[in-house]
Amino acid sequence: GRKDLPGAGGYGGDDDDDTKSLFPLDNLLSLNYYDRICPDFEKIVVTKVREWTKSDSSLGPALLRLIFHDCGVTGCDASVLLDYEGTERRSPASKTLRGFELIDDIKSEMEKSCPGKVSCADILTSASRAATVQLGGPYWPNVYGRRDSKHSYARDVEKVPSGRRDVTALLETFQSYGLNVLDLVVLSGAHTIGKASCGTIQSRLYNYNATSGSDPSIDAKYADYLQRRCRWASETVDLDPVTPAVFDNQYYINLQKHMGVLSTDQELVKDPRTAPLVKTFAEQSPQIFRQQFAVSMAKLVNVGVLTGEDRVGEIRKVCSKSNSRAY
Amino acid sequence: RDWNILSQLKGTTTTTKTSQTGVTSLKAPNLNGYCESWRVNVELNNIRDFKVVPQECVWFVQKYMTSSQYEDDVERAVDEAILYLGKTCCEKKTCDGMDAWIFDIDDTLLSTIPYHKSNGCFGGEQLNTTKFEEWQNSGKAPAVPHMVKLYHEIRERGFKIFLISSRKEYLRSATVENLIEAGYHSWSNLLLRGEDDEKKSVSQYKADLRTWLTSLGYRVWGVMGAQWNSFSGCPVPKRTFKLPNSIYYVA
Repeated sequence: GRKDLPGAGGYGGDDDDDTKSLFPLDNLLSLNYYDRICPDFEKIVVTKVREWTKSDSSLGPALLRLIFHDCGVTGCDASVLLDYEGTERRSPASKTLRGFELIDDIKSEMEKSCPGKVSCADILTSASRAATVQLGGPYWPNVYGRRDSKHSYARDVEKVPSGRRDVTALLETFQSYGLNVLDLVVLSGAHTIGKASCGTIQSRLYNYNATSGSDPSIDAKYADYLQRRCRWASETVDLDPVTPAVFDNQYYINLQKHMGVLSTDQELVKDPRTAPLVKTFAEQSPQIFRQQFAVSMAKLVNVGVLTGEDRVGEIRKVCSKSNSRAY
Repeated sequence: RDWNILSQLKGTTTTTKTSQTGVTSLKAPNLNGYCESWRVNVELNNIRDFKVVPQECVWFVQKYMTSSQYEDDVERAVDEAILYLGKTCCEKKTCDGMDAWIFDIDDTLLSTIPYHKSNGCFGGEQLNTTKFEEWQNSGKAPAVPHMVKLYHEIRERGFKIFLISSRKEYLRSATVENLIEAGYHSWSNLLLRGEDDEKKSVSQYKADLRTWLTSLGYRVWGVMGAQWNSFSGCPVPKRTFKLPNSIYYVA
């Protein structure tokens, strides 16, 4: 069951939680949800994320991508983690998603410390923030109490914005999440880190508008470089070629120099609704982008959550398997 | 950022090599080999349609185009063309005046190297058409080394010389003066691109002119140019001679 983002403030119980936070809250999600039932929750997550990213630094960006693909389908319900025939995870669009083993490891550890208490959706939410902080990005307070979906359908994945949508389609999708144009531009800024699969941009490099050349909106030197990097669809390329490992606003500066890797990235400077925001983030202090990123992420991870009040969902024992499904 | 692809290729960063004396030295990636391979494949038309020379090879292209090796390579092409001339019909019977030879102009008869030198790039930036045409209009391009000799060798054997260039029609008088100043004269026709021709690709434009020449009854024995667009399409010339140039690509 999908749930829209409620208005800020909420009502009813847990008033003390609302007053402590500057971020909009679902009334049934709580900043101190695990304080009594699993006090070490965030510590376990942070430790595991740090441990895994030490040996594979690309897992940080992968976790951010994973949370986006989860929240962007039916809401932040860990549906992307379910692994059986016909699930989101098995969809072609999810082929390049990574980070599942890390989430499973955290869940396994969590089941030892607090069996049956911590949902995979909350783990994914916490892990994506830990990854961001690890990458030098901002911290934001998370509220918890999400439940896991019992189902996952590959057909729903079409909704997640791919690297080839135009701005209008992106805005429409974001609107359906309860996010706005500012959130679209800000969350696209996650491409300050991470890599793109060459398969998503090859048509832009080699077959743009049925020609044999590259998209003319790409800087010529950069296009030449990308063409030589992207010989194979399975190759990857940095989304921010200038500072690929730093969480900064270089991404926006790149866009203004026609160095957006994905066409959805470059489109942001063409569209009059988004171009002024790109310009602002490119020209203002990186701190402005970081602060706004925290705000937008806090909104994203509250999209379409399942909570106890819904009387749906479950706390999975294993993130890749629903408790109620026979295997 | 220099867009050097080698710095990101796995296994081709610095490697350790132990010499006989046991001294460890670091071996840099073989940029010379990489760039020569790129350049050769451009000449072979295996690499096409590039807008800029790979940034890590701009220095290499400049080095080659301003080297004695380039001049030697041109001279070899000239020698092969003269050798080929010795086998054509004009040596065997009375010329009927219908034997033709086609030259391109830029980087074939006249060199653009001074333009690239003064503008600080050898393919590292996209060619600025406006500035390039201004330079062409100044009429100061020197002859490509060894080409004046070949030109007159061909002319004196009774061939009709046709100059087919992608230069625009408005550059005609500047081009004529430049050619004469560089030592060329007595061509049969100088064919430049008019407004209608600018709608075609350069390859198509040049192929159309070869078609026109053959329809008039000329036998095109050879075409000489520095870009593959001088040779592409039908009718196919009997022989083609390409001069080296990987600074830019014109389709």
